[in-house]
Amino acid sequence: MNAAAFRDVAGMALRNLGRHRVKTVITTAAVAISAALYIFMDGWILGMNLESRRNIAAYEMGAAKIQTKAYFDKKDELPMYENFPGWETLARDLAKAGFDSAPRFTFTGTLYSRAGTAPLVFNAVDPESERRLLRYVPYVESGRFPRDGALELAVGSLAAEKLRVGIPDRPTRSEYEAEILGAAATEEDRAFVRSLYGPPRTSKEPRKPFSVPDKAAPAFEEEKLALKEGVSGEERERLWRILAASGRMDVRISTVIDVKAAPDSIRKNKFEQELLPSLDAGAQALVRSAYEPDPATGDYYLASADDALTSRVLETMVAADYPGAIRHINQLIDAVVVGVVNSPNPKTNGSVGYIPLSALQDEAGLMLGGAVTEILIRKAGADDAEIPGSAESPAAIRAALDRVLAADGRTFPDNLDVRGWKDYSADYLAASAGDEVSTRVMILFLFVLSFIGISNTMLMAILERTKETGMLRALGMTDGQVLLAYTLEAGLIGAIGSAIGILLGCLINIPMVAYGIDYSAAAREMGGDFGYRIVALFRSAWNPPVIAATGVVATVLSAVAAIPPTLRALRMPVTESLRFE
Amino acid sequence: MKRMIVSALAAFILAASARAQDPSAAELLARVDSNEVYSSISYKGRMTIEYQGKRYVKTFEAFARGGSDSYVEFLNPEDKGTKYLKTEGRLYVYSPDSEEVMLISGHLLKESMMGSDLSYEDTIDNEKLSARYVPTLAGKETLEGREAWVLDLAARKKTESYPRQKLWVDVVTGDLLRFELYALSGSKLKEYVLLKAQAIGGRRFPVEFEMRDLLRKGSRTVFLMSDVVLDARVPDSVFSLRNLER
Repeated sequence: MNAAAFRDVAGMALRNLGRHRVKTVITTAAVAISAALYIFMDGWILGMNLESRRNIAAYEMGAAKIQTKAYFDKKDELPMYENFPGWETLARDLAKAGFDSAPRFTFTGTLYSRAGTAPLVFNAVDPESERRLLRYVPYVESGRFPRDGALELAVGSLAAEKLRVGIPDRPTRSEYEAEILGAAATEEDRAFVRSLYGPPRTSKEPRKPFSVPDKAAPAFEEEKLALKEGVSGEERERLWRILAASGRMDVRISTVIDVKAAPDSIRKNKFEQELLPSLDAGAQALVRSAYEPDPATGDYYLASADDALTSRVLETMVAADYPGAIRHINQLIDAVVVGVVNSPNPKTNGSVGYIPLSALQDEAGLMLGGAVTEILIRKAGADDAEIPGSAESPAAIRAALDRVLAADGRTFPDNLDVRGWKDYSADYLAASAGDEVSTRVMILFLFVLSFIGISNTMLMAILERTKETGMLRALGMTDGQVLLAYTLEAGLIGAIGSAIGILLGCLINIPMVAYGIDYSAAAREMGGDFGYRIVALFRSAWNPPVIAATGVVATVLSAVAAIPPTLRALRMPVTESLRFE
Repeated sequence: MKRMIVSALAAFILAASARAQDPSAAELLARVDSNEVYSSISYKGRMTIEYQGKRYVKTFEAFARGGSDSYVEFLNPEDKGTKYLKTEGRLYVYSPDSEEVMLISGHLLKESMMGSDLSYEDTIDNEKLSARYVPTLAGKETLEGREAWVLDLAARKKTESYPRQKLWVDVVTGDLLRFELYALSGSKLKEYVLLKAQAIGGRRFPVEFEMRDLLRKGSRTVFLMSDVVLDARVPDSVFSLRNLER
């Protein structure tokens, strides 16, 4: 087909858009809505995922961690006995290699307050390093972050609410009377407390006069008060001091210190029927070299005085998951809550506590003796808005660290490993990938439905024009030219629709990227955790390749939708087409 | 729990061998240890748990052999079919709801057993005290009108579950009247108080006692034992995983 013929055919297709205005408008609207919806949803999903990934690195763990290899294998159990000493040296080496680091000792326990109990994951941290590396530290909404060396605790806002520590935002009348107002020792303090609380704001939700009563709702809900808006930092601080003086912030951490210890004696049947069968031949020989049977009882006793051998035997037992090699020491630590964390990452605000590492070194703490379970790592001066890239990959960190160590004639410890944030967030990443796939499939279905609509519209339009088609063919237009005319017509509808859709999608995306949607009220109802690492503000992101591809795909699909009905019309003989009514 | 029971039993022997002069701390502790004289025990138990203003009663049947094997099956309607088996130093629980056997290990051992003031770990602890603790005679005290030796036990190793314990042993009868368990920091965690001991098969045996987990506010658990049979043969099949699943 020459250029002049193509111009004629294209011109005819363009004129047809105006001739069949209703069809054009309906089909264009369908394409536009589909494209806009896809761009909006894609931007939203991408925004939530990017924000979640940024928040994992910025608030939870940095770009990577150093842990013992054994710890990583059992990381879901938080095996505190798989710890390692000498974090200060490694931190200095990491600094020379251009990385910031923060040591942690993670353990589980139960926190007892005056009003309740809650199981918590505790992160023993170096406050200064933690502040430098992670971004949740400034988000202490009440009180302050614990100070080095003190048995002080910052807890997540959800844990604080459950344990009734910290400053309550919405206390019940009885809690207010007994624990908030009751905490004020002087009349001046009481007046101050009264000035901070008032009736809660009325709900904007309209009343539903004919709604069915919720059977699950309590028959009587106690009146609640609310902390007034605009309470200043100094006022919060003063209220915190008043409440702390009443003992509201005093807590006890009940935990079990798990330590590796070679058993002094092992019963005969346990040794022979349980321990030995779990070991390979080499390990069996090693264990037998350290333990000897007692001639009288047959039980096995630790006979080796060689500390190195005992240590190897112990590691062998732990590797074989022999329960007798782990001892559990009961510990109860008195501490005081000094702050409540409420950061943009829900993981930092849940059942979690932060306590200074230096306060747990001796028998009043966890007998750590300088040991930690992990060192968090981030590139010095890394941009929080960036998701850790190749410069912060485990391989890059390890290579940089190896260079620093090699310069001093040292090597990286064999029992340690560097793992990236993705290794620790595999569950989240898999769940979010699953979510993303299902959401995209859903949107794709909408897309497909709208194009079935377009196909149907084109089918009807081409059927209506069967006589016209026959006339065009009788006047000398080839089947190819007719097919091209209708395909171009449909493609033009797709192009106009997708252009409008892209414009619409981008217009919706602008406020979604800049401001997002605040789901804080819904998040509170769901316990503060949506599954994403975002607390309340869900923001979209720009995805230019998808926006461009949406336009191209919508145009091509619209054009393709015209081909089957046109081919069907072209199969009809010209004479019959001319007689078609 | 078993250690508490057998400790009280040993008190009978203590009383029988009471001497005019004060016994040494090591002698007292060795005698407490030597209380583990029965080869087996079976009894019916009743556990009354008071916690958060509520009262729960659980009944069970228990068998134990030596220091290493024990089996408990709950009989009260709410927990009927729940079974515990301790063998080879491992503790297993069978739940009729899930119809599964679960190994209780690690931090789970610290959890309360059936909502009582005893942890799972307390029930499997059966090593001799004299091998694990250095005793000191801290003097004499009067408890509820009964004179008792006070023994302060410090763990030989820092890896002991309770780094410190304190025992009160009746001067006249040798009953273990009370003991306290402490955390590494020195805070008291649990208290045991003997409520009633009686003669069974020529021995004095604690048949009613109270346990309090001091971290659980207002909580206490009272154990009452009946139909106690000592040194009768218990078939091996009782202490098998198959019995747990049956």
